[in-house]
Amino acid sequence: MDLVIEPLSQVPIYQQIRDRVIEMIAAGELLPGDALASVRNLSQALGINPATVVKAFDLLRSEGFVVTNRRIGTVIADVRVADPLDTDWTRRLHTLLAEARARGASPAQILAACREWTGDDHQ
Amino acid sequence: MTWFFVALVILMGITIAGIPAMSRPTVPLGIAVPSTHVDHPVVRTARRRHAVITLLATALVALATALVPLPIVAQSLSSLAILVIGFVVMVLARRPIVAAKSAEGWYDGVRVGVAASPVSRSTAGPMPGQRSFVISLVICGLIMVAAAVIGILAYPTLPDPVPMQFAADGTVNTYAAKSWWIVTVPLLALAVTVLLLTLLGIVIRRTARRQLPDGSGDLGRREAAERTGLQLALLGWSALVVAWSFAASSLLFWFGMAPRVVQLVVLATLVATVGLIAAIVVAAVRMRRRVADHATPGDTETPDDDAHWHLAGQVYVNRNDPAWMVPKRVGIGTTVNLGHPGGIAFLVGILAFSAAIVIVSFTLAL
Repeated sequence: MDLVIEPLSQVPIYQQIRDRVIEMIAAGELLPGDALASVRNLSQALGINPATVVKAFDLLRSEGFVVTNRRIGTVIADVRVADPLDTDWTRRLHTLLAEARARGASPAQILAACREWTGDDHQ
Repeated sequence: MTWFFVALVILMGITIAGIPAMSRPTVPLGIAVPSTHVDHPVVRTARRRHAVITLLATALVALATALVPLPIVAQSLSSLAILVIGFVVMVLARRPIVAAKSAEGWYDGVRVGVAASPVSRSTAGPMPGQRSFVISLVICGLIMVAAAVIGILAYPTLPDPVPMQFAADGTVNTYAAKSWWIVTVPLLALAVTVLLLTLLGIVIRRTARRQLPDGSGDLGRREAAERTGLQLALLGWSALVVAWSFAASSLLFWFGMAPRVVQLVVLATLVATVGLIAAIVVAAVRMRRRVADHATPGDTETPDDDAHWHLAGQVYVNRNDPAWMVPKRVGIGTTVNLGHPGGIAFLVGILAFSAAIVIVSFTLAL
């Protein structure tokens, strides 16, 4: 799986990069210790400003999903924790769910979307 | 020599007419279109018109070159003429596509994106075409060493003055005073050329690969890998033809071969060059078909960046793009980003190197 960004999307590109990397970690396509492409290579491949990639990597680093290794560069961190559904994540989930409800989604629709995404591979 | 220029015109004309087959289907005649519109009637008609008119013009120019008695210099301009005609035909043939795309809103509501591998390439294995590239460079090295050894050993027996240029019938028409420059300059020029091709191959190998989805789930990744591999292989073949040309011409100058031998060597060089061009065209067309045959359906199109491509999709200028080298839009290969200082420096460097070769050659012949 590749990292795909949509330049015309309303979502900022650095946010898209951050979101795609996390999705790839969740799908097992990026494992702890995997080295991410350099800022220069990734920005050239995607045709975007290197500062945007730096911002995405900084965001991932602040959230603990990546760490910087002087020799290798930016690598995927082992983010598994004892309590994965901590207060901060739960609060953000509440906001996300509220956003869906505000747009008119029913609880059944939200649950169906969650089941479709998690599937058997994510249990 | 007339037959050579006729053959060159025909080869160039066929290559120009076949450019769409060597390009991504989503950039017919250098215009970006969504994958859903590659078979649109306007696109099909434009491509057909471009091919037919180009081939007709090729036939006319070739006939004129063959039948009209002109000096060799004038005949050599026939290849330039077919280039100009090919460019003009492409500019005119693509206009209906531009008009239909704008009028019908082909990209309205289309999801566009660019993809890249997020992981470091240092962990990747050998790339397709890399082995062919390395083998070609090794052979080039052997050719250079052999030519250098022969030149050094033969220097005491070289005539004074030394032949520097041959006429079309294989006889010598220019001489230069014997000196070590006669031996070293051609070999240095060969070594520098092969070195530059090697560096270019390394740059292509290490440059981040831009993946263009073109409406497929994995076509962008596959196309980027195949494109890079083909470029490496073709660079290696080009280096071989250059090495052969330099080494063979050096041997001709040093040993004063009979005119018939000179003509045969020149013919072999021309055949090798023509063969290289034909190999590039065939390899590019086969690569495009192979990539298209294995594409999986997807919902992301490559962004419409027509605004950054000029001169019928030949020149790329984008100051906001951090890449100084990008995939060509027309044909196969890579081109420089003239909106990037690195791209401009590379182009200036190539032009300066070519000019230096010409100037040194003329200086030696004086």
